[in-house]
Amino acid sequence: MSIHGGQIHRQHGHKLMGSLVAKALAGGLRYLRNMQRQSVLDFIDHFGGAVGATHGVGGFTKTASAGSPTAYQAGVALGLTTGIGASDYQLAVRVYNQGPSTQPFIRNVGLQLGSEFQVQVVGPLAGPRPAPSVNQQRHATLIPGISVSHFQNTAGTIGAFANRDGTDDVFILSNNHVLANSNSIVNTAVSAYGDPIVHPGALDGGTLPNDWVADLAEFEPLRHVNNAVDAAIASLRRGSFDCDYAGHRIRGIAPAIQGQRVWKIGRTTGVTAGTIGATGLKYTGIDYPFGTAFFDGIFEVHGQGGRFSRGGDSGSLVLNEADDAVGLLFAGTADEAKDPVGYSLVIPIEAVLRSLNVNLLR
Amino acid sequence: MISREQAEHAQHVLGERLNYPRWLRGIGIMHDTAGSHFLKVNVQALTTEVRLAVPSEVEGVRVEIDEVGTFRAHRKAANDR
Repeated sequence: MSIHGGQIHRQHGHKLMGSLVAKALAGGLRYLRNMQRQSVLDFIDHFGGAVGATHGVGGFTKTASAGSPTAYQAGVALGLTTGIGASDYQLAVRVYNQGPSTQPFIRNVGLQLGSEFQVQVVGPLAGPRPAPSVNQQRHATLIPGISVSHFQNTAGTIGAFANRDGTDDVFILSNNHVLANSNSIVNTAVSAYGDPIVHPGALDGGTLPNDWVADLAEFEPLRHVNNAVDAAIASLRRGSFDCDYAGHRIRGIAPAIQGQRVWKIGRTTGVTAGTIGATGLKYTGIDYPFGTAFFDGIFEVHGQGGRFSRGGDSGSLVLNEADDAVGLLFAGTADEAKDPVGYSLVIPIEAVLRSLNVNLLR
Repeated sequence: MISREQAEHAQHVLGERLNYPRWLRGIGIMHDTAGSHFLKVNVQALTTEVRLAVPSEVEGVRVEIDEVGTFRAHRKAANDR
């Protein structure tokens, strides 16, 4: 019997008790794959009570239905692996660790099956990480809604492209806490004009120098109170861009009106819809990495059919049904368990454009 | 019928009175179906302290309380899956 580390593979339990290995050798893999769930539970019982409550066996337990995921951390997974030769099979035993919770089980298996099994220590089983959405991936042409960040930040969203009267520069528009790394009067050292901006954002794999797409150009520092905007622009240094909002173009700008239906494209949740709630919000405390900052003059959006936004959607441009830009999204409800839909908080677009002295490109 | 201007005045009065308590998540302005405006006070949790501090009416303007939890800047957290 050998024990060695290996990669994680989710195994399904199979019935093996007493002479089962012999049957498997005679009938091949098909026999094992047709085994019933109860047989697996019998197998677990056969190897003693230590298995039942403390060892999750690859989707099969006394309380879970076959194939359902289990949450056992001191887990044991059983499966089938090839042995020596084309028709030789061994019991595959995958364990979380070699500690007191699993050693007795391994020893017990060894006593029953002799050398006809293989043990690997695989560590904790975890489900696969969700595949990144298209908005988190690298794009040859920059468009609104895709991932971006300050090179030392995580990830937010390209909200829009903008220009400024009297210059040829094209700017990426997003939040200060996305492009300027939450530059505040409390901590001005987190970023500086000219800092690299990467697409995709650093958390989505953006690195220097290949993903350096813009230079931090301007931002409004965040304060403890009396904040009107969380916004920044970065000057595009290379690459092409397109002001395409999922087949739509910005028509103009408009104020936020209670009850109005709005939509946005964001790095994390993609295209979502919502309804504007309270407007003119003042004294609104938002948690940032550096502490709490209070905002005035913002409005809230309540998601329709789910959350309007999640972490990573910061910087998304919010549009009304006529495709007028109404605001720049920057924050939202943190506790999803408590409030599955929650609120998103948005800065009126006029305040954003005025603070940075730019115009939206359409 | 409460106008938006009346509601904005009441918003200012209430904000000054509360003076940035740690549980305050904003004082907003809304209107009902008849067009009459009122204040919506967002709070982190509906605690006894909140109930004592937030009145049901300010300067003749109705006040409603909404428990919203914590608001956080929506950048992607590094430890999110």
